[in-house]
Amino acid sequence: MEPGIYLSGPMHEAPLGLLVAAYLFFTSVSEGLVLLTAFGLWFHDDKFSPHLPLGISIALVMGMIGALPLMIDLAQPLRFINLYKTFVITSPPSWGALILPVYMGFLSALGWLLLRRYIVQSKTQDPLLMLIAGLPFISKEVLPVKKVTELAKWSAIPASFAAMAMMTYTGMIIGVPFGSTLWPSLSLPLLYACSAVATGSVLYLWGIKQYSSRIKASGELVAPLVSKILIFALLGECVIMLLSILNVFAYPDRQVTLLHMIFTAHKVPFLAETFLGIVLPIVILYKVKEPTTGIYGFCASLVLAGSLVTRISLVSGLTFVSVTGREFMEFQIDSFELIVSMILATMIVMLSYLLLSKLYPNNSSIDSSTHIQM
Amino acid sequence: MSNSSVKRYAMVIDLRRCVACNACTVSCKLENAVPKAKYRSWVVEREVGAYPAVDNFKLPRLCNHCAKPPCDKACPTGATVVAEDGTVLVDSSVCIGCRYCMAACPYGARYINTKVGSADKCTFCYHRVQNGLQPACVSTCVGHARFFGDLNQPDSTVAKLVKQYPVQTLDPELGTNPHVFYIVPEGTDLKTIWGPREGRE
Repeated sequence: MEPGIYLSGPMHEAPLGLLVAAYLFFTSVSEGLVLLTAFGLWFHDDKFSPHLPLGISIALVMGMIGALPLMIDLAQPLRFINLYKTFVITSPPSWGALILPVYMGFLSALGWLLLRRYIVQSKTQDPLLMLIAGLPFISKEVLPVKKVTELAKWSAIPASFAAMAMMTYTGMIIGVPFGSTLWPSLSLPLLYACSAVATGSVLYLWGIKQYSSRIKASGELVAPLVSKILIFALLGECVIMLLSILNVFAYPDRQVTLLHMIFTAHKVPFLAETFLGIVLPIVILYKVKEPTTGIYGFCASLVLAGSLVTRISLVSGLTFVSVTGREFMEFQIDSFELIVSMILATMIVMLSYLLLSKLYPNNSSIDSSTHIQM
Repeated sequence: MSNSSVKRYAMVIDLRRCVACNACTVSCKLENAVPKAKYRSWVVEREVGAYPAVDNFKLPRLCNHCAKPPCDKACPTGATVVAEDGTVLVDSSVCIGCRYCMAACPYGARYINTKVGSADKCTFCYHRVQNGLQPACVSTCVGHARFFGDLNQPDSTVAKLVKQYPVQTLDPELGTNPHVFYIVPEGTDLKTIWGPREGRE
């Protein structure tokens, strides 16, 4: 191929941008937390149990935060219902429209069960928490802690499968632009699985570090376990990076070589992913003889930063600014305003309910035993 | 190619005749009310080689109306449809503007039409063709570089040109089977004019 330059010719805006990258990042953190929660619940419930409600709550919040940018990114957000009117088997968003609500459903069920267990075990009398735990409607006698734990364990299985389906679907989404380098790779779902577990580990480690004074013994017990998972996830990231590099050689027609990745526009994400997200954490973990929770947390943060860059680079090739010189398009701003208005409206309804609960406390803090008698 | 009653519209662009006057770009924008900074049809100018052996190429671009359109497969709502005559169209009333079709299109032919809030692209001037007219870009082409017609009719100009010349398409290795054919200067590879994918990204 002879060297050449483009003298003129307009280009359209990049199709997938920062909002999709944000969606991928938040949902993968959520998926990682779900997988770790399921792992902790099944194999180390005694050590993990104080952290599980926090982990699953963050997973739920991250899942919800992740879905928002995706909605904002639509030019016609109110037409999202069209996704359910037609199912196109070859279209990743069609699958996503099914998988995302299923995942959020299982996640909510698991979250509710773990939160209920925690609330019952901690014997809190907070009316709001009791309401969330459903104690006024389903008493402790009807659904005891042991039963809740069993239910949580079994619901963690479909939740984990849904999380893995989310990862696969995420890989499929990125695989859509099959004409672009590196993207059409079957390794992508695997990449997201590894990254999700890594990012999930990070949040667990951060949580443990944050609450180590309160639940010190438990935190110290869990940290080595999560750290082991983190190391495995790091090794997974290494394998995936290697696959990505090999993928470059698999498509000679696309005229992108490893040198392109290191010395051209690809260099920033490539170097950040490789050195910040993989090499540096491995070196630190290797060099420090007895890593503390803080060091694990730091290494995990590097992995988190690396995975964020991975998502941005995969989605937009670090094209933060569009060709037109504007970060966000007008319809995205319109969609943002519409969705924020809807969220605010929902929040007002919820706050009104809470306010009414405070004004009429007898209605909100119904004693479960009273409820049974009724 | 077969003498079939089913139409298969295609376009042939003779790059030897294109002077990059952008009359096609302007006529397309006017005909289809294309929003500002968006294009259904446009011309790329690329300089290839090193001094003193430098070539300047003009490459008119538009939707390739692929026989196997990746945009159609990626569309989650069925808003992208392939008409019986092979024209790839977008139903703007169904499109949710998710832009996966844009991501899937290897030719960068799609954009979001902010006026209607949906994905948009060249339609081969479907409304004109249905009324027996040529697409606006073809009618306006100063250098008579563009030819449009039914590929399934052996006596049509496009069918004759495709038969007569070693026409090339953009990124044939992707298997999309484009229906915009280019007649390139002798001894030139369309890949050289189209440029490496790296540059396009």
